Amino acid sequence: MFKKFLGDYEFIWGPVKKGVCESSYYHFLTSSEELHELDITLGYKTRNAMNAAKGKRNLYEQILIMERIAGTHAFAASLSYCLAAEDYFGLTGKLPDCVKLIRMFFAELERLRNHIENLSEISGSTYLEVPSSLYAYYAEKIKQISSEIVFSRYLMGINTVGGVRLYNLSGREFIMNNSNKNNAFTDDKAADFKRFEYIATEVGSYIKDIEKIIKQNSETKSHIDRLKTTGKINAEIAEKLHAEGVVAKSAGINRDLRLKHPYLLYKVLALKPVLYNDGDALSRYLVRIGEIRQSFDIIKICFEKLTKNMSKQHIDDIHEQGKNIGDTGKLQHDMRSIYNYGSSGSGNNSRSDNFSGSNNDDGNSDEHTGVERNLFLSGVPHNKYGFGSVESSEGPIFCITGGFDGKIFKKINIKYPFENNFRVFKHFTKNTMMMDFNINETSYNFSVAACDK
Amino acid sequence: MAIWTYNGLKFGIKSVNFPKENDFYEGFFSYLKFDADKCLNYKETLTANGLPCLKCQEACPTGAIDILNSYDSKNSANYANGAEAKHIIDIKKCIYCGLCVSECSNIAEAVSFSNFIGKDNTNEANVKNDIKNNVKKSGKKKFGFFKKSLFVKHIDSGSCGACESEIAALNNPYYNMHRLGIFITPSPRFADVILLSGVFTDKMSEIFYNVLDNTPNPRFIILAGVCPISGGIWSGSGGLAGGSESLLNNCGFLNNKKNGDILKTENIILVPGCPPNPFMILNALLSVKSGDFAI
Repeated sequence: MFKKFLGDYEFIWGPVKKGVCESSYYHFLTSSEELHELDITLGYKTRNAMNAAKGKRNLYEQILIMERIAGTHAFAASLSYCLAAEDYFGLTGKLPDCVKLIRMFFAELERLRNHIENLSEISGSTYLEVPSSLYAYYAEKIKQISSEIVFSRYLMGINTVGGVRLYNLSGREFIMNNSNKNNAFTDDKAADFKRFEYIATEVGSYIKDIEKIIKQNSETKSHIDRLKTTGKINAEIAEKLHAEGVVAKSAGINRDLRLKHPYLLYKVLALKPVLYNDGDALSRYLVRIGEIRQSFDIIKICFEKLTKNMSKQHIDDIHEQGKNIGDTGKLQHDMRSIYNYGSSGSGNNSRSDNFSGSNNDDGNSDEHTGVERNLFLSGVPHNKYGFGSVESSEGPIFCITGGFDGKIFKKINIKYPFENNFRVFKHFTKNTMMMDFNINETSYNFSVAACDK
Repeated sequence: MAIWTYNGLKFGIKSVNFPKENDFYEGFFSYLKFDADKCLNYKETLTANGLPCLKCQEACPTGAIDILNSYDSKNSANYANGAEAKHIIDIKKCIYCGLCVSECSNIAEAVSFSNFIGKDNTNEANVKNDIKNNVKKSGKKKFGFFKKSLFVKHIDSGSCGACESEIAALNNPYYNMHRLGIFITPSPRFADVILLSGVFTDKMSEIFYNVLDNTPNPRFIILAGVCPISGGIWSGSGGLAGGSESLLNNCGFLNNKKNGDILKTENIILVPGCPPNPFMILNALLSVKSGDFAI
């Protein structure tokens, strides 16, 4: 209970709120305009995700769970899980650059989309409906491209342990045409990369239009004035409360994992951090704009590296790799095979037999199974843990895996940045204006589902 | 502010003509089609061994494919002819992960996607699309109560946030739900439709009943996504190690034992998908609005 003074009153908001939003419970203590105390209760939609993941039959099903903890951060979450699993199996150094570039490409696309969606919400919170609608239109366009190319509007189902499901990238056209499978794959191996070109050019045209909206928005005084000094946070306290992602960057705290602990190929890119020092809603808005530009640059670099710097051999390699891992859902077979191997206690040869056996079952040739065998040779259960960390659009996502029993990870956990940011939000919302609450909350871009996992 | 009015007008109308014509975007798909004639394993193994191929069924993480069930209950001769090969993919459970297609090249040829939306939210494909709406289809007289406007109250009962994002997308200029007279309302007392997303957790169930009590009749409940319909990827995860079955049964709204009475009395419409496409949600809302479902 809050300590009340004369004229103070308290009220609750949630779990079911106005509009379309996730279920969370806010408890306010206020005296007319000033907000004195705020209590946030989450946990209304806890789905027991970790136990659900433990009940799955193979690693790919665990990825499906990880993606659906927070749907708007599906790619980053599945990537963190895959990095953790690859760390566990000792595959981190063995992955080809193509796989890393493809992962970076989609991770940045997701970041870009989330930031544009948030710009739409921020504009809406300052009652500028036109720019809000324009941003939302371009975010929708990016989702439509995602659906067209990778078969999911939220970039689900691309990552697998040890690779990417290239099948998912090229499968759609094949399914739509209902054509012969072999034609879709073998005739034009570079076709997969044309899809990246399509995404890059389309997103580029959207970014041009978005830049115009951003420019006009920054000239709109009512918009900037509402954001300035709203929801200001102190850098020292924010650091103590472990603010993450955009919130930390807006207060000048550089906690970007892409810079501090580079994964994939971020080390090569020499990124510059997007930092602002004011810590208010405007800074968070500007950080997002900076990151949109940065993400688009990374998308362009990834695309260029994928197409120009890679030789035909590389393309063939990645194609074969993707085919092995994604084509026939071999990952499932792999896990079953390892499980069989582990339980029977036989040697490497017998495992190879197992692989070839499963291939024969599928009616596929054995010629392209070399990469796959190599990848999973080290997939022997051990007592160590695998760790994966990814910078999502809102901050770092950490995943830890362990206790591999031949099929799935029995010990598994994932951490999103929102728990920390909720603490920061709660602390710095006290003694602010009630009118600014919506702007303040929107600029943090919380995902309640990620906390209620 | 005047500049934004000018910019808005300059931007022009970007909305689809959707209810008038099916002008969907390039990557849109609504439901799966299953053509048993093209699934070679399906036919060959049946005729040779008398047993169907189960590769896709084994791979399915949500148990949406049930070749065995239909095989046991029917005459195998019918299957060889493809006459009864309808109930193979249950779209009430399918999360569109594509594992079945990845797993078996034969089902890959048999499965294709439809971008056709039928009036009653089903399509003509040979999949298990018997979306049993509790509402009766109006044969003679249309229910035109919501003809002019429809107010929707959204409740999140444990979704991943993607469904919310899709529902919120209905307000963007591309779909522009307002032009069709459909609005999101903050209060259940003004609502005609309750749009439920998520796995229906126990904590949210009490709140849902509260909202339902406050919603006036006549009313509809639309279940958005596979989570409230069957639990999707979460189904059957409640009673596992560490979790109490009574507290956490992520089996969805339809399978929840508490909802026995509600299912009999309420008008429930299902919109499958993970997450459901905005076009699908819009189609269900339009069907309610135009009175295709009688009370």
